Amino acid sequence: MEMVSEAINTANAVVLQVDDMANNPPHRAAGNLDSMFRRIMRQNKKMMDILSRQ
Amino acid sequence: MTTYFTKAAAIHANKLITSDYDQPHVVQQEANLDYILARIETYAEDSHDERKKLLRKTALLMRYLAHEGHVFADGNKRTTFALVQAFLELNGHEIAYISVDAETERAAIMKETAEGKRSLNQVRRWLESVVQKKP
Repeated sequence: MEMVSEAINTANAVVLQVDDMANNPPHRAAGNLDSMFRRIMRQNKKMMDILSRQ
Repeated sequence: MTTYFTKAAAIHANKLITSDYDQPHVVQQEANLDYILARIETYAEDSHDERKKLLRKTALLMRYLAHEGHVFADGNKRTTFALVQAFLELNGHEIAYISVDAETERAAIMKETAEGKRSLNQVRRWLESVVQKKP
């Protein structure tokens, strides 16, 4: 009986976690961030060049 | 609230970088990319200090992608740096540009991280020393 109770409590905890994720989904930036990546590459050109040779 | 980039954006970053160096764009370990993107969303959520939380997540992203992920056939270190900087910027921070010499030093740090010579804590401490709030 104790094991059954523990299993139910664990299942409830999992359901609560899933509910929490559904209510507070991670915020993701829209799009492919193309211009941001191009700018980062341009601003760090020397580092990118060094790393490309390694 | 932390803002994340998408998997499509991560793949796009590698496409841009490899294309710039005439290298093939190949995603060879997509499951590892799925793993790290999911992991940074749950990692360090116990931290109440927003800057510390961001830097802990960023350190995990940097070390895992550069050293263990092997997500792309080429450009893993460059893509990791671009994603680290993008992640920081999306959350109001940045690794500020200082000088050409600093770029050389950063390249060395990326290389050491990729070779597993820097622990997660060492990567986090380095980030603490170079990341600032965006002006």
